[in-house]
Amino acid sequence: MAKASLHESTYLILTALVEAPRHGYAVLEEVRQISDGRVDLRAGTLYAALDRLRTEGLIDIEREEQVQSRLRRYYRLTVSGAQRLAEESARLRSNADAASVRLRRAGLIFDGGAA
Amino acid sequence: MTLEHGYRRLLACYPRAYRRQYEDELIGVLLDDASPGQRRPVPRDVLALLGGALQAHVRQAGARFSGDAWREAAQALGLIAALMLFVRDARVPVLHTAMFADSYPYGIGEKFVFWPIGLVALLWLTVAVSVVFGWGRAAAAIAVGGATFEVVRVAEDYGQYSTVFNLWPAVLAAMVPLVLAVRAPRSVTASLARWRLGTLAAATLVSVGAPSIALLTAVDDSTTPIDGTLIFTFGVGRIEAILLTAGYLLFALVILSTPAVLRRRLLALVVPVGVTLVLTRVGLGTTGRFLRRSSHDGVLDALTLAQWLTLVLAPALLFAVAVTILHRRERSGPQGA
Repeated sequence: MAKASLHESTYLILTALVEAPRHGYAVLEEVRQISDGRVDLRAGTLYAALDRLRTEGLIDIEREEQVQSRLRRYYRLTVSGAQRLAEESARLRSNADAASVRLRRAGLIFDGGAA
Repeated sequence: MTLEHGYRRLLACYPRAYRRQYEDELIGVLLDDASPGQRRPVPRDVLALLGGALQAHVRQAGARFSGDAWREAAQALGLIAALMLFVRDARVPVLHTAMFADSYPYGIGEKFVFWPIGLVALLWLTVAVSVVFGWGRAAAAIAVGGATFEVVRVAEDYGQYSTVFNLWPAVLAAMVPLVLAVRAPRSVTASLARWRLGTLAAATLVSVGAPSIALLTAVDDSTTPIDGTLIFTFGVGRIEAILLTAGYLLFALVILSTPAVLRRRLLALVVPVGVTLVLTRVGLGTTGRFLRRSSHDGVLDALTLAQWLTLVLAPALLFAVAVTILHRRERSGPQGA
């Protein structure tokens, strides 16, 4: 059965964890940077997603530390999380390629952008 | 009030287990992400936190209800409810048939006896048999038909007489397809044991046959009809009342004799039906004690919005309370599930 597509914020959270484990605030910052500021996740939304992704086994806790007497957890992408992200990226790429081919064929875009 | 206090107040909306897991960490991220000099949570954070709290509660409830004990309770309730609805709908057709056998040429004298009531009774019996044979999905699909009939019947009663006196069977019927749609980890024969299934069969036979037995034995002819509010009927003779009571007690015995984990869940699941029964039989009506209804020329007025809201919200809220008490008790008790 085909897996449901990932919500954009979930996709970006997983992407933010690809290069290195990150703590919550670093994930927020990374998501803003990846999306050029278009996706401005709030902490409440982020932790709802992190909790769900942990339950699904797509991310896990790498380590914990105390910073200024506050708990800070670092999250990492699991193998199945990386696989899920790769599958979703392939799906998005395939859709984007199909859209580009059709737009080009219809003469609505050139290589540089819209006609 | 500091910014941190503001956030902590919002985090109080989350389930306790979630707060234990994430509160300190989340507060740290919220404070790191706050603008310099910010003194109150911004509306976007408030919305995100309230949305996150709602999601956490829904996920927690989903996780709780997906446990094996709840699944078994759902299946057992589906069977018991289907049999009780069969009893309710089959009594009159069976009496009709018994009257034919006892040389009454027109039976009970009503055309509706076999259609649609007899057919619906047959549907509920099919649902019960399907559950026993482990065909849960088929049972759920058939139960949709029975439930639709029960709901339409109540709606018609309300349309004609503004009465919700018989709302409880509709609530019970509506629950049947829902609980049977849940896949149980083992068969109902395994979870209830054979003797309870036998007791359920006996309860069903006694309850369905009560009016017919009373008629055929003719013992009730000389007795005064008794008030049957507690046995969900009225104007019945003593023998019929005794048989009906015995039938309902056997149903109760099955529920009360199940292992504690299953019993608690069964009792919690019947809370919405029980609350509806109490509200409609005791609370609503011209003599209603807490939802008194006015009437004109002996005809009840339509329910007010507040009364409708009470009828809808009270069963749901009390079910939630029952489930919360059950889970708290099991978490703190030595025999937790």
